[in-house]
Amino acid sequence: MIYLDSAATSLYKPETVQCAVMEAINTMASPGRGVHAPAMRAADCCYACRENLAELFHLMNPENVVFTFNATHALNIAIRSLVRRGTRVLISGFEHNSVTRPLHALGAKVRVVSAPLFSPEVFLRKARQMLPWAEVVVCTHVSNAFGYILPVERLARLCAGQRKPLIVDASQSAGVLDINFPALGADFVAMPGHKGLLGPQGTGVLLCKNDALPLLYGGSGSASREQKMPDFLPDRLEAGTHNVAGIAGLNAGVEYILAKGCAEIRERECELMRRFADRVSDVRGLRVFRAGDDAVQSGVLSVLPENISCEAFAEALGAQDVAVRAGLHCAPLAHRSAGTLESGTVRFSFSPFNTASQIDRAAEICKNILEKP
Amino acid sequence: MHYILMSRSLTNAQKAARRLQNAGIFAVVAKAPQSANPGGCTYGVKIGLHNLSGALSRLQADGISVAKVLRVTDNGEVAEVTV
Repeated sequence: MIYLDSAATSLYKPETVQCAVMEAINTMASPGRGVHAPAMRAADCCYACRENLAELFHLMNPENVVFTFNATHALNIAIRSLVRRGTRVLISGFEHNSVTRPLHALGAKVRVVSAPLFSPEVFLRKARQMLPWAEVVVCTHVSNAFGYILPVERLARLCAGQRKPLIVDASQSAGVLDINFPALGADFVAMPGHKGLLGPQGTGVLLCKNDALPLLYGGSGSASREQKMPDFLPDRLEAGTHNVAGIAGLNAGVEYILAKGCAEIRERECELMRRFADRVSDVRGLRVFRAGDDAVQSGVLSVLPENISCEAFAEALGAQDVAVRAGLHCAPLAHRSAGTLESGTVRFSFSPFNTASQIDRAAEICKNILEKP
Repeated sequence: MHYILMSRSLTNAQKAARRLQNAGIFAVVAKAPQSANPGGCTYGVKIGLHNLSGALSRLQADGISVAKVLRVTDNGEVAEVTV
């Protein structure tokens, strides 16, 4: 199996991740629910993970690192904290449904900064023009469909200048691009644990600058006589039992990233993406969505076959043990922006654990499928 | 006898304990006695009898607030300490 769907979930993970998950299942209970050894082991594990995440994202205070069950959960907390019916929200043209659907459900007034794929300067120019209208801004750091790295740092400076709250969706960038949360100045950064952070499914993280509104209500192991949720982080946003086994695995993933460094991981993923793109660039009947400037593309590459459907192409790849994702990738807005809403694309997304020989083999299989008589 | 420096949350208590441990002060996370805790469950940091002033200074320097200080005797009697 050649797994090239790491933008959905990182399948290849450090061995320490599964060891940590197993250890947690076998030895840990629930943090904040007692001081017996299994509960305290769980508490120590969760706190260690908060500290490591704080180090990775340059936060001074681990209490501002909130565990969620995925990025969608984190985004829902962030969006519901800032957006009400009628709130004017500015978004990029590359947002995932995990942003657009909560906004739709809340009845927000949404405007899209329409700009072509891989065009950060156009995006910023339009964002600057539209920003006075907005009350809240939501922007993805990297498009999950195309790997387009949006200029969130520069957008954040524009937002700060006009005191507009900003939510950043770091689903595709956490663990790969350096994110300095305090320097960025965003109000919230949301991310999954199971992609670039190399943790298990069912883990997510929300970095909070200040307070937020709970999405779930229930036991927090603190201030138990009160019927209101605690007014302090992280307890305010973490009702119910934690996914301790998941957090243990996430902690192992984050430790791996801290040891390697985001820069090395990004370089490795981009090297593999470029290698693959070079090898399929001359395949007949295949459109490749590659940025002219490598600085604006991560380790994700979308392609569009001209003579067969994306689904048929992905199925043919799957039949030869190449795992990719076809369709709209839960990001119809991104496909509208790129002009691929009707067809979708086939997405190849790379992991630092993929090998060059896997890339070469996958490219060869693409060529064989598309150029066969 | 020992002291418990009460925190607003388990995470806050863990942060305080970690800072104290890094400063060479014995500190472990402990659940605060219900009798001293009208708000319900919370946690604190257990420290030795002779470490109170050093611990409070360290936490103050790190910007970590302490909700209140409890003195717990060997037979379990709890009293709030004014500092």
